[in-house]
Amino acid sequence: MKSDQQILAEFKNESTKQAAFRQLVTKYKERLYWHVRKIVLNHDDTDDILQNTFIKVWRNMDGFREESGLFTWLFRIATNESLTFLNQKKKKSFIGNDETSNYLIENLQTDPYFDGDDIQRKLQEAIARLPEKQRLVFNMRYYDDLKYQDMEQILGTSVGALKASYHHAVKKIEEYLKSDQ
Amino acid sequence: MNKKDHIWPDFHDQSNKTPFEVPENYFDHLEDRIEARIASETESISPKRKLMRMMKPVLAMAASFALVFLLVYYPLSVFLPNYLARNIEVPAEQTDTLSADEIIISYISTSGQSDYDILLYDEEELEEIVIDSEEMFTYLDLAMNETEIFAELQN
Repeated sequence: MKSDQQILAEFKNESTKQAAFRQLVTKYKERLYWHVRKIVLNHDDTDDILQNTFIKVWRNMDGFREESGLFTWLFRIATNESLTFLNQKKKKSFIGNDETSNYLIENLQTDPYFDGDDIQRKLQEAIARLPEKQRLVFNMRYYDDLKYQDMEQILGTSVGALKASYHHAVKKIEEYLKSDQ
Repeated sequence: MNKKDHIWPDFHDQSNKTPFEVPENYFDHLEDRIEARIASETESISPKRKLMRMMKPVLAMAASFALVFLLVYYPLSVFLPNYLARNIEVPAEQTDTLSADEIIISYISTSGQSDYDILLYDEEELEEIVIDSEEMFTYLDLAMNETEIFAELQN
């Protein structure tokens, strides 16, 4: 697998641009898929968002200034696409911020590709009930094992605030799991 | 030690793998599908569509102005025409282009006088300029032709 620097260098050359983009998709498709899937929970929505993410990457890669890592840049685009998708859903369905969690839980319950047991379903429901930022931080830290420094670049939030968000998220999930027992 | 062990003992024996699946072979041809979408989107954007896309915000703004005008001005002009007439002041330079009738109507509508007042005013004026028949005959008697005027001046 080629390094990010190699992919970026080949993307700048018109003759190797297409192949470099294909390499990039192959390298990051699974990580980005799971990142998006944990935000919107439903496979079909994730598929749409993932394709839109890579199309945006194709269009904007020439303007990528390499100030941040390619990986964090891709995650930022995928996160923004996912949040934009959820906001559009909210507008179309006339649902408020508080009802977003209900929409996500419904997604979870109707998703034929959910493969967890009851405990995992409860955990997913607890995560879905979190405020947006806390949900993102919790998923990135707990499942993707991302460093706070990387999250800082992806979400544009300070490390201190991210740690606080993660702490609050853990507390809320604990409370939810205890109350549901 | 796994992070999860610190948080919830219930998840001790479970990895932090997400409890979701993907359809079989979903990732196998993802590159092809994305490339096909990029190709189709590049082809489908004709210059006409590009122009329409650029003009869309301008047209939307013009349409919203027209809508606001219709929603505010039209009901006012139908239901409260006097209110509009009172509030629309005619700038001084515009009066040059107004017809005599328009100036009179504008005067009547802004002077605060009733029609009765104006009629009364006209009658008083008429009374002042009424000339009785004796005065008229005297005036006619005094009327002189050019020769008489010349003779008068010579004297």
